[in-house]
Amino acid sequence: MKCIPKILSILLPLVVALFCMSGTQTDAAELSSKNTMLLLEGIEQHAMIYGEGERKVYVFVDPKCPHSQDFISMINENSKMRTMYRYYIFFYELKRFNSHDLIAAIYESAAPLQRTLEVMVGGKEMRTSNQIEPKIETKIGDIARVADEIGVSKRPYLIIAKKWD
Amino acid sequence: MYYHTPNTSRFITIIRRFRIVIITLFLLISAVALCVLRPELISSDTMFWLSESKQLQKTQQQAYSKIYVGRLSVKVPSFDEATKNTLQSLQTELEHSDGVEQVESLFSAYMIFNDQSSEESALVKALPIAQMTTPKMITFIHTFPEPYRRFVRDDFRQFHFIIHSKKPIQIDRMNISYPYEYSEPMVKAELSHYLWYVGIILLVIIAMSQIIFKNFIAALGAISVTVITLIWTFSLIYLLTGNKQIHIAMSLMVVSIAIGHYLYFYYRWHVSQFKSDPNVALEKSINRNLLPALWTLPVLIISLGSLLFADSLIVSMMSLSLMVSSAVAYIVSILFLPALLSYFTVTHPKIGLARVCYWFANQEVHYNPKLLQRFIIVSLIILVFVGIRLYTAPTLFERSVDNETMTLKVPFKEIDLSTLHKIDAFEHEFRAQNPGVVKVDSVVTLLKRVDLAYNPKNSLDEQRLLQALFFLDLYDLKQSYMDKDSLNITITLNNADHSGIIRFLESYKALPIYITDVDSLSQSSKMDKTLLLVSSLFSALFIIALVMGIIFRSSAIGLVGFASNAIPIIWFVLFMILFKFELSIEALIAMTISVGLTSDTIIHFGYKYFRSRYFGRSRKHALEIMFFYAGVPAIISASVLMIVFALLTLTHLQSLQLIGAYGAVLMLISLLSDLFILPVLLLAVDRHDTNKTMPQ
Repeated sequence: MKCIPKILSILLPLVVALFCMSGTQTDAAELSSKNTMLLLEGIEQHAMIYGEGERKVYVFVDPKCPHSQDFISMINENSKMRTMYRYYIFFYELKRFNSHDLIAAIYESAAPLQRTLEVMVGGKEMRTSNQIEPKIETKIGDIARVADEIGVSKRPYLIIAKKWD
Repeated sequence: MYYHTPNTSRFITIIRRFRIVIITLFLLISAVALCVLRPELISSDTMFWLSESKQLQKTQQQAYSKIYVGRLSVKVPSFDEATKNTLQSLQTELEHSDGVEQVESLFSAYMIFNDQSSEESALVKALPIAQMTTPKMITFIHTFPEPYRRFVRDDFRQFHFIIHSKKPIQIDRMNISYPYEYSEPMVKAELSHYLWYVGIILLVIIAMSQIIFKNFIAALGAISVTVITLIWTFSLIYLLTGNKQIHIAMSLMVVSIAIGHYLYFYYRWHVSQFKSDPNVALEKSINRNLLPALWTLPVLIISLGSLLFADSLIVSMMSLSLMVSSAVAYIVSILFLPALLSYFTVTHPKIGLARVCYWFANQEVHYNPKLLQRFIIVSLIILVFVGIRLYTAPTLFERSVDNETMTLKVPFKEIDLSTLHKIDAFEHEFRAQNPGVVKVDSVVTLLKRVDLAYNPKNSLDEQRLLQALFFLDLYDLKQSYMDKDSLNITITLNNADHSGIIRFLESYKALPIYITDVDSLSQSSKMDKTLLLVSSLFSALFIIALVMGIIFRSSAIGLVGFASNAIPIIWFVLFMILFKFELSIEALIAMTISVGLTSDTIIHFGYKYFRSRYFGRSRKHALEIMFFYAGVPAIISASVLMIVFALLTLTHLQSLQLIGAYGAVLMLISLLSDLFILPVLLLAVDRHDTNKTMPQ
């Protein structure tokens, strides 16, 4: 009987994980792989590019999401992975984190990738403002539109380019 | 012919006159040969088999290297944090050992999961299991035992480390705090292995000398003849072939032949001193054994000669060992041995076994011909049954293995869905057709685990495969599963037929598969040669019969030669079928040794019996003479060799254990056949008229 809580402590996150993941890619499958890539290539100019690898990884993150922070930390620590992959990082807000202003503040900064790492890896607080430049809103809107079309529902959300570009 | 008694008086006089020169010459040549030869001792036959493995050649053409797979099992008193840390240190030590490529264990395994506390994360994580606390580890593995069953026993008292290395590793030089067992195909013999065998052989020879001959001369003679024969045989083989490698089975063959030859010469010298002086005894030892011992040479050379041309190093080396040692033992027995024995006199020439000989002669002279007929018919029926069984049910060639790990490589250009489906189909068919497959572990297994953590509902699509591959890269999990251009597949077998599995892999066409583990490569090579040895063995039986017919100028004796050699083998194969033993290469090697020794016995028995009959002895008296002069040395040499072979079963090498066990059983069956069947067959074909006057 004593081991039941232990078993539950392991099983519960797994079951929850498996349950929650069930919807992830089904939506994405609705779009053909080719169309997805076309959509993503259309917003590449809005991405923060991290790494010099030959293979493209499109990543949708929320700066306040702890799992997104974990992921960015991992790729920041793993220089080998950055030589193999080139990450195209997009901010896509999870509503419950209310991170729209933070996303805008990072995009508005002079070095968005540097800011992203400071915030998401270094835990640095960043001053935000309600007055967002229109071009930044457009950028956030473009990314959100593509993400919706692809069916991005989780963070981090990865899409990996099939061919070496 | 058998009735000629060569005049050896002058020969013996010369031997006696130059005995010190002869002994010194033999010892000097042996010492020089030993210094120059510097043999490479091998206790496992793996190296031999690998050198001629077609599978290995195929694997090496792809630039894949062979892998030694060892299994280290460590027993721990209890599993707590301290034990876990010690085992983890062992894992690190093993991984950093010279030549080690990969160590599979609980301490290299990962828990792959999706660490999400909300519905909005898609991050797959891989956590080394060893990073959990021990209670968590135990709970986790009890909950998901399947991937970890081969690494740990249910009670967490025994942990297994599967070590993949490019060369054999020296496990005894490692710091392992707990009791352990290690199994791996070994290549080079430790000197201690050989010293152990030498010790056993010496002990058995000394015991035989003391118990039967009640002196030390017999032991001195046996040891010196055996040692000289060993050195000369391997030196000659080196000169003929340039091969320095000596497998322990080759040494055993040489020891068997040397002791067999020696005992006929020594025994005659020993018992002849009951009535004659040592000089006459020495002459009798030579002139009564010179011809039959010489006849064994063409019998062995012609019957086993064809094996020399077999496309197999080990088969030709073993047949060469038998042939060369027979010739060398003959030369040593007629030159060195009389020179040595001429220094000694026996004080107790009586042999206790003489009474047994008279008992045998009395029992067998009144044999029942109908019983003999029935026995021969039964043996023939068994022969037919064995033949049909071998043809229709090749399960006799099965090799059952437990906890065996096989490694394979599959070349690939890109891991895509098509590659995955091919490997999936292979696994499915492989499991369906081969019982005993516990686990097939490949990058596909890992990808499926990652994908399961990611999205378990739908089947894997292209994007999810790419994502799974990304996570493998992220957590550096790929390295043991794939190289630049090949996928690694590890198969765990338990209570499975290794030979059947190798046959399946060799004939599988849907995927290019390359076997890389040394054990399977050598087993595949053995399987290639099994048929060759079976056919060579049977052709040897016919050739022996032919040569014996020519020597004794009687086709009936040729048939006796065939029957006496074939009967032990037929009954031995029946014994193997009944007790479900595999007809392995080791059994065939034991049969070859047995054929060599039995041919020797048949010639000596036939020579003594027909010679006595020719000189007018009655059937019973001829049998008594035969048993006394040829039966006793045959009993002694078979007993000595049976003990030596039986003790081989105590070694840790499966190959030697099998040769030892099969050799001991076969020698017992051969001895029983020599004592009970051969004399009766000789009586049955005896056409001598007892009333004829004895020629002078």
